[in-house]
Amino acid sequence: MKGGIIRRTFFKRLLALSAFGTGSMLSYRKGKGDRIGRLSFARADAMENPDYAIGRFKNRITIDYYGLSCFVIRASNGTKIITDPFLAEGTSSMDPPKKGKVLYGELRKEPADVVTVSCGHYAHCNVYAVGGTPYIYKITEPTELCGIRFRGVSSRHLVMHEIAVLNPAENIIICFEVDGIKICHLGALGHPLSEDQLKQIGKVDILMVPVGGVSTLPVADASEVCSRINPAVILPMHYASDRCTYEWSGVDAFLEGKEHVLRCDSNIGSSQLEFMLNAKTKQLAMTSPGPALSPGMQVIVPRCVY
Amino acid sequence: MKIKFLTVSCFRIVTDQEVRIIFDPYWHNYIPDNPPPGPTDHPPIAEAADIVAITHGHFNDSYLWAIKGVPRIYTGGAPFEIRDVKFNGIVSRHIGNNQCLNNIILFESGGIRCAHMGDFGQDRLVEEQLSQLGRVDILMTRWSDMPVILDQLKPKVVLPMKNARVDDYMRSLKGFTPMDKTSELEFTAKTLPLEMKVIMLKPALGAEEG
Repeated sequence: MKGGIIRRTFFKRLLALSAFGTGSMLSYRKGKGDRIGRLSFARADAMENPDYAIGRFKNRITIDYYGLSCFVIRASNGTKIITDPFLAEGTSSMDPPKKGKVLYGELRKEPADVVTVSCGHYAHCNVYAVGGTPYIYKITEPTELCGIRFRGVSSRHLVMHEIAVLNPAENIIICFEVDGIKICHLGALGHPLSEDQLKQIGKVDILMVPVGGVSTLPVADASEVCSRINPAVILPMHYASDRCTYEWSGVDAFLEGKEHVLRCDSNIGSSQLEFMLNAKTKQLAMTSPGPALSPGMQVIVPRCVY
Repeated sequence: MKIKFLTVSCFRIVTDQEVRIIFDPYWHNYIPDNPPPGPTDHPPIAEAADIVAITHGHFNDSYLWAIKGVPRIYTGGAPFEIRDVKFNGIVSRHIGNNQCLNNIILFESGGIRCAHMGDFGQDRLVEEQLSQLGRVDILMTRWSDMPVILDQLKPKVVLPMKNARVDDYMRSLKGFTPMDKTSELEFTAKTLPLEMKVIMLKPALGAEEG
């Protein structure tokens, strides 16, 4: 039995090597996600952070923020999940209606294993920007994809009046767990959550919440949703900034009144957040960028990758 | 394999091993700034699919929110294989704006090779593209600037899409077969016609023509 598996993977690896040798399949990736890319990343980090050199990078997940509602989450085994890829301005011949501009850099065909989509609006549903052949998760049934269990909670978002009405105005809250860390992406939630929905979401370590208002739930309701879910880390998303000029509020309105705020959105340092679950205490820890997470809810404002 | 024409550039293909493929799913509610004349109401695509193949980045041609289930998408790039289907994407120019790309998605199943041109914007296929495409049996394409492509590829079956109207050129072709009532066709490698046939299918989700 085992011999058969080794023989099969041997031929697969031989094919991968020959693909690299001929240089014809430039975007060919072996196995899941960018395992090759991940190895070189770990080696580069080993120079800076001694924890990597002594092999403590297991069970770490990294989160990158690309803008709007788009996060790229990498599990420790290389699986990549992209949430809500958006359509950036000027990247297609059919630009979205000029009610506002989204000037974040596009995803540029970032390869992924799973793409989660919360609603059908082009600012959340532009899967063409993602490379590879990912699974698209946008349903409420619990499914296991690439070894990660996804489940969705149905909700609604506010109907945008400027564009053609999306029918139904459905929004899916996506919950999944990578390396023991429970992540919940609220999408473009338009209303405070009911008891039933909160029970379905359950315990959450990292919560991504839309804070722009107007087309998503008001800022006060967003704060209330955060306190009811009570995650360890809150990542605000879907807000207006110098690069996204819809008529939404900025992130500062949400940060008012929050005790522990960590703003990582300066141009210094890496834009990548790295988290780890402490095996003994089962508590979430942030390994990069420091400092340690405060007890209680910590709001982190990440910098956009582009 | 069964090919069903749903609407504007959207095809649904079911292969012999029950792999359901949907090409370029259409956003049924999209109202552009200058709406074309005639009715534009399409019912949503309420089908399940295993693979959704998207040729170009127009957001109203890549609207997979209405598709049920958990599909995988293929948007060109590296070749992709699942069960009995092999996909390949060939990059080409897009109509009009030359900044964005269009992928001609070629897939092969059960000995039949089909190509979906998407928003192909060149007047003729370049040698490199021709060599990557190889032999094409079934071609799904817009019906404008097509004579050169048909001569270059010489497919056995041509399925016009994107609001193609029956024009004089189409009628003048020997193999023109109007099929106003059917939206679905079934092909096997043995039953492909020997001469080129142009088949105008009725859109299954199309608006009622006046």
